Amino acid sequence: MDRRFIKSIFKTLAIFQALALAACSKAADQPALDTEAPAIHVIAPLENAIFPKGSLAPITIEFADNLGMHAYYIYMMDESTGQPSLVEKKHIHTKNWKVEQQFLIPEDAIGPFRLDVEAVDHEYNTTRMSIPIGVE
Amino acid sequence: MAIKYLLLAALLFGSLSAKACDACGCSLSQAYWGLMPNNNNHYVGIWWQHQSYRSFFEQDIYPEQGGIPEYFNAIELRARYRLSPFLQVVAILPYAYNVRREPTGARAIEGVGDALAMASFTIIDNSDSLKFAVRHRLALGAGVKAPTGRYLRREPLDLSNPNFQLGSGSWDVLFNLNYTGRWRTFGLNLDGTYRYNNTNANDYRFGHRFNGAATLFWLGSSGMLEVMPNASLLYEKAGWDVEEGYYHTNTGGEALFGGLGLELYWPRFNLGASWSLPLSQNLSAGLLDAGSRASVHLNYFF
Repeated sequence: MDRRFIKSIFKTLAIFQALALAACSKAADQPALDTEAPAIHVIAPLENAIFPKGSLAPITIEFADNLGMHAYYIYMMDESTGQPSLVEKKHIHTKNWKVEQQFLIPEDAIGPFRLDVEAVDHEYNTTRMSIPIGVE
Repeated sequence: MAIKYLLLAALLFGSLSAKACDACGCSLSQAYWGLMPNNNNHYVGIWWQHQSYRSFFEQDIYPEQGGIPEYFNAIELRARYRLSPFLQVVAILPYAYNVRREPTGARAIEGVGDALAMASFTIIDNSDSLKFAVRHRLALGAGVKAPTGRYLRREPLDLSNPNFQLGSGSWDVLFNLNYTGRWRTFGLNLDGTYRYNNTNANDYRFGHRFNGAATLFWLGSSGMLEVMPNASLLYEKAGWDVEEGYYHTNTGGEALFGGLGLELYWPRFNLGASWSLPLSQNLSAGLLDAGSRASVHLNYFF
């Protein structure tokens, strides 16, 4: 066999061996599927809080996810009419996010209202939470 | 001389369809080598590659947006150095310009991409022999992709397509098998490349990828000019990306492309172009639609 051919074989085998070692992964490193849904913590409004008509109801919500969120949706549902009002929705990548918003209670509102919050991560694990509030 | 040139032209390095993409791609997907003659020569070349996609990662949040068009462009400096009759090294250094056309305006990133180098060893080669009606060449390759392209961890309000990056941020390993068979003026090239991706400093690993290509070609000549039209089937498959030990199931996927190309050869120069369309696809769990791809290149042999 030609000496250069043999040398070339050894060079290539050495390259393959180095690359194979670099490509090694331990069995313990096997990835998993994310099944943990995001967490929602509604700081305001408090459950069953009462707001005057025409006032601004504060909305403060903290979101958390183990890997990162995909989106959140915040609606205020008028239970007397069944009409939802979008407070905020956003596409987002972060493990922690805080929303600080306000919702104007209409002058002619009869109420009650319900704050509906939904948080979704990239695996579409979803958490929903509802907070009832009243109107005077 | 012309006959010898034609014979040499048959010794194709083959198409190395190793993104980004991808899926995948995109900026991290393929480095198409194309059909390359003059296996006994070194070369340097400049290549332009274009890929188009439409992404739907935020469709559930903003359905009124429709799909977002994304375009991935790269200018590549390529070179091959022949260490011995059986061993050669090829390298690619890309410069990428990626654009995403959002409803609020175009968003672009540009810069040096991930450099790639591969050593190829010829196992079987009877292409020089006039004894055989069908001539064969089989080569085995191995290489690395270096994290010379910028990888940016996504900001809270950033876009969803993880492939909209200049680089993977990791050292990755490639393995390639390439076969060329030729009968008279017709030939078939089969190429397969597997890329093993490592985890980057942000604890993100792009899915491992496989790319395969089957190309039929015909060689003709007119004076000093050699012409090689070709038709290809290109297949790519990528596994799910992994972040912090968890799979992202809206990544990876597979696609099959059909393509047409034309190569022109004259002493020391090669000019080539190709265009391909997806025939079937399922990328990023249906959240990414691949569009057409195009490539133009100019190589100089020495």
